[in-house]
Amino acid sequence: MRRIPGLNLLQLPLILTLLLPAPGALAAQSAATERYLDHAELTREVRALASRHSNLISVDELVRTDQGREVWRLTLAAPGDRDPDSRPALLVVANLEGNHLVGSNAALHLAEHLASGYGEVEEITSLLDRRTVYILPRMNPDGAELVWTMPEYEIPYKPHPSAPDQGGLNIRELGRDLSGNGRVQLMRVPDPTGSLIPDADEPRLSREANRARAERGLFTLHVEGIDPANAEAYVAMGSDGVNLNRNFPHEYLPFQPHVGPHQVSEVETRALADFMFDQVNIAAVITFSPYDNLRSAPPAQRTPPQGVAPGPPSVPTNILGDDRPFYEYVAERFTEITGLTGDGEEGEAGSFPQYAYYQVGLPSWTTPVWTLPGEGGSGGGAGAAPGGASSDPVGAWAVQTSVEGQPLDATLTVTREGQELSGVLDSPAGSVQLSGSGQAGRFQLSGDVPQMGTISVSGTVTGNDVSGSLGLGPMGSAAFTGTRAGSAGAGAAPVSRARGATRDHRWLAYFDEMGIDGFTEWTPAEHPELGQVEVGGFVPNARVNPPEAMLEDLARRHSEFAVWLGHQLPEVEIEEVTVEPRGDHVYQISATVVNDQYLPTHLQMGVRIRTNRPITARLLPTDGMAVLTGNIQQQVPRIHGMGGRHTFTWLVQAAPGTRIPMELFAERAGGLQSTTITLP
Amino acid sequence: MTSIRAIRRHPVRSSFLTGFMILILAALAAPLAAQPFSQPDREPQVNIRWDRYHSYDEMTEILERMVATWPQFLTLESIGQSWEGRDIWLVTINNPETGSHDEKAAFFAEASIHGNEVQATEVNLYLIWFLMENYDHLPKVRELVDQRTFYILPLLNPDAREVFFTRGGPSRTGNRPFDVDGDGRANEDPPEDLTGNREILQMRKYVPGEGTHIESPVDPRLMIPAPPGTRGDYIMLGSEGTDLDGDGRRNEDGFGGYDMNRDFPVGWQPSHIQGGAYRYPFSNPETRAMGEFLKSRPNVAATQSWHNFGGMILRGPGSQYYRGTGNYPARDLRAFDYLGERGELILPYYRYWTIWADLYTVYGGTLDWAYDALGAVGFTNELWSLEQLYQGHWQDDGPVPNEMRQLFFNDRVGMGAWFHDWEEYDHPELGRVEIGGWSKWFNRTTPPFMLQELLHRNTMFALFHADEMPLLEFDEPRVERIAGNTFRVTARIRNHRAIPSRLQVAEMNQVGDPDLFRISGGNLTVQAGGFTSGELGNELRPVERNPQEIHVADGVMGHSDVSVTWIVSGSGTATIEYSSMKGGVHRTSVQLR
Repeated sequence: MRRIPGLNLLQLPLILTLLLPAPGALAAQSAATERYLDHAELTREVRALASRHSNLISVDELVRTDQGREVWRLTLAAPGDRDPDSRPALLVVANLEGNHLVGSNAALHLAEHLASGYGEVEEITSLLDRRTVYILPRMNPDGAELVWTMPEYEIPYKPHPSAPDQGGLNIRELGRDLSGNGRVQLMRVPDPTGSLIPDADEPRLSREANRARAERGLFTLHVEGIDPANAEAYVAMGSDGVNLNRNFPHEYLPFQPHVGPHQVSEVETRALADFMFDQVNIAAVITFSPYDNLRSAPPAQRTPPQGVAPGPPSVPTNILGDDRPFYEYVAERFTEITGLTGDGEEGEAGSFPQYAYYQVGLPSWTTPVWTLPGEGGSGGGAGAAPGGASSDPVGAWAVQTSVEGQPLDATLTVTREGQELSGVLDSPAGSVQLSGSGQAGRFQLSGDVPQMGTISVSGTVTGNDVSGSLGLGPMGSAAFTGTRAGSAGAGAAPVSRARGATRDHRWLAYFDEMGIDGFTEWTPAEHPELGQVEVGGFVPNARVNPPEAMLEDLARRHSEFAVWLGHQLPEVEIEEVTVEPRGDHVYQISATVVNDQYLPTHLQMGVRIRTNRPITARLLPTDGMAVLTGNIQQQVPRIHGMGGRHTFTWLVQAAPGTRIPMELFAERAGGLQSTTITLP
Repeated sequence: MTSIRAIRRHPVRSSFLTGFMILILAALAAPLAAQPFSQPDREPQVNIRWDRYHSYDEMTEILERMVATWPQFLTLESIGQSWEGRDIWLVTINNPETGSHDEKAAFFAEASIHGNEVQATEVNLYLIWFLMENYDHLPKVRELVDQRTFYILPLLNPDAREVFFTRGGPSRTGNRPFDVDGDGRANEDPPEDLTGNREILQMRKYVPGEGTHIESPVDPRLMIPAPPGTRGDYIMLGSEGTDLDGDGRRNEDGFGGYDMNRDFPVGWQPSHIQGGAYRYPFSNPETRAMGEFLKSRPNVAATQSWHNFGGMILRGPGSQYYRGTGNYPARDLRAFDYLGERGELILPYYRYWTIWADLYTVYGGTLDWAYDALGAVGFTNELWSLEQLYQGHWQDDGPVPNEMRQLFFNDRVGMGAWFHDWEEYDHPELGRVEIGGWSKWFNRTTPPFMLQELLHRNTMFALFHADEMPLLEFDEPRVERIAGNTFRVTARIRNHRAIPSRLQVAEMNQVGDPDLFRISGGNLTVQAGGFTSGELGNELRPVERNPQEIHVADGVMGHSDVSVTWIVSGSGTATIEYSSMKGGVHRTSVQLR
């Protein structure tokens, strides 16, 4: 190791204390980051945003609901040569489930994040200069309004016009609030024939008594206030509230409750499906919905949901092999950028995210914005405790190394700032501010120390262990190892990950940990027909929408991901056109086109289902020109990303100086482009 | 139940007064209403040529004329517009004297979802006309018009019919711009009628010794492949047309390119599996108009679609994957078979077939949706086959060679009308070619002299189908005192027709409201109730809950009955009601004494 005279690590405290500037607070404070918005307030926010940024945002009505509310569509693009409707576009869809309000906040935050960051933040400026972002912040305004008009229920449905009663919901038994707490939850009805008992590990939850283990059932469980004797009444299919995210054709469940009378039966879903097909520049989709394929990539093999009508074996049921790596990589980047992990639920039957991939052929991502934290990660929100056995580098690490033969104990604290990591290396020698990047399993940080140069820390994380190397600039490098602070003796997983724990167990543990009022303890109440019962259970929508204090942080993380994803959209450009004279007025024309972006112009699914048209190049018929090879128009099914290229070649005969127009058509990767070739 | 559509007055039991009124009306109309069917020496009230095909505008005029002639029975409405903005007309046939249209079991007939299948529209025009012309003369016609509602949609795809008439060529599709070749441009190079004879014919080029085809030695009009090892004298160049967009290919992107009979929700599959499917079910304005109309008519108990050709009475399911069994549930099949097997007798040369098993697989066709989602019994007739032209007389070893069969009929029955001889044409790209071949008015299309028979027989099949919609009637109920004020009440309702009052599939899918048997009365207490059982019919299988209102899961099957027994206490009059979405609401009463 080469020595720098007069300087060693022990001198660090004397010469450094650099503080990183606080991360720029780009997103202006707005209602979208503070509270949930009903239709009127959301409309005001949308209009205010559009008028503040009229050069960047245009707003129109995608469709009007049965109850007369506008489904707003925001188009974000900076003025430029190319029409926003022909630039590769990202579509962001929120609130198909009316009670999933957090999606609307995240979608509006994205609009604000982009508009206020334009001209300030390079990656946002370049995004809006070259791309279009369509945002549908509230697909189901009629359903969302129920959160305000019927706050005591957890209802994702759109009230259906054909439903004859209960305000268009026709939920035969919505239940009643017996306990007087303003919520309709669950009730335990004491019943010697009941099969349920409180779960010994978590008595707030119930489980089946096991008669073979000498357990005796104590109660039945029902929606609070209903009369179970009347709850089984016949409901004609298609005449109840509709979950818009069950109304799309892929793996649609015919003749089931809350799916609508048939596929795409609602004005909202029809408008969205048509928009997907008509707006042929849409190249990728993010849906904020209860489903997730970002916190964890979708599985390679899945079983279609029960109740899907049998179809031919040619109906795809899994993400195709060529497409999986894209889903895996983007999921990794999502976790790196947002710091969010968790085990989201897969898109279920008839959902929009599934339709977008399986029947429109587009890359389609979905995230609930907020959900149960996964192993060691954060479900979302500032203060979500790291822990567990993840390999996320975020956390505090006790590390040991040795510098020039001297053992050195230090503490490495890594935090996430948006897409970046920052850290502090604290040692008896002093403190170094670091910044860098990382993801589950790996990180790289560095910081500048005056007179010493750059200190770098790169490590590999395996559960609670870390190892890596410390780069000391001119002094060379040293290996280090460490463990997660506080992990000693913490061999037991947190309660939220206990074996056998159901999702509800984990929700309770998470609520307890975060101090969220998400569950009402069982309390006695009087039922008019059943007598004494106990009322309690999860608070309506507590597992759907986070406390409002968490909105800003969650929305910001998702906006940063959306910006990253926007930069990955495919775009085919004409890289080079060469004309090679072959004599006798015969020329070979070669046009090479390139997709320098991450995503391919078509996923394998888009090619297979033929919804995405091929990449087409053509010479336009020109007086005096003969295409000797006959192939005036040529097509290739797709062009890969990361420098994927294709060369179109024509042999033509025409007089020197002939000007031949050429067109390139790549519908979701740049639209129609033209150039003119002049023969030498 | 909140949404039972009640038939307040049962047609069969229509009051004496109503019957009298009808007689008066009929008597008044009689001097004017000559009719040509039972008295074929007379002129009809509305003169329509049944030996020719009618354009959209002519059809509209005919509909308006019929509505003006029979305003008491016919109403005309537009249920939507085609892609090109033509009104999609729907005629309701109903006698308001016997009840509102939505209170009767209804028959729905749709035609020409494929615009080139031109007979279809004519059948629906004939059906309206036949019922109206003969209402005053044929008792069965009067019974049908009085008891039933008919919703007749004569032309679902008017845009394509217009293309067929004015230009010809395949026009099964609608006329929405559709980018067949995926090059970013729609409909940029369709086939063209180069010779101006309103036909899209075939092109061939004479290239002696360098081609693929030769003239048949049997008849030079027939082109056959050159025998192996030899060169032909002609090359076949496909449909009439030029390279309109200069891309070196002819006719590669013509009008439309989708199939609206793949646009219905049940069993729907996207276009990579079911060619012709559009974006999602009901994603075309024409099919959506039809779908919305039918969703608002839960009284529709039977449906009919008219197509061409091949001579078939088709039933679903459209695919072998339907319900995992590839067949409809057994109880419902009885009604289909009853109608289909007799339909083969009404329609010589037609075969009663199941779509996927006997023809080909169809995902998202009209029939499966009508059956599964409407709970209606539906057929698709493939109108016309050349067997009807040959009348079974063709002999494979007869005096004329087999391959001459169609040309023989063209020459000797059509007087040459159906084949265009090859004629020279100077093609801008191909040089001297010849254009000719079979007319659009042959093969799929019925020749004029046989058209009326086709319209009549298929109308008769439709009216048979309509007549077999459920027709319910109570037997006289029985009362038996058990002790004191406790009685046993037994009520039986009969279905006089073949189609059940509620299909098994409707119950399986929970579509519409179930059939219900109810008993009510001033001071009635229902102690128990259930379906009548026991050899002597004096026992019951009690229902578990709410015996006052018994849910009859499969309705009253065809030519069958359902009997329920209640043990009640009380006195006075008990009203017994049977309500059925397709079969109407019927009441009877008993005295508890």
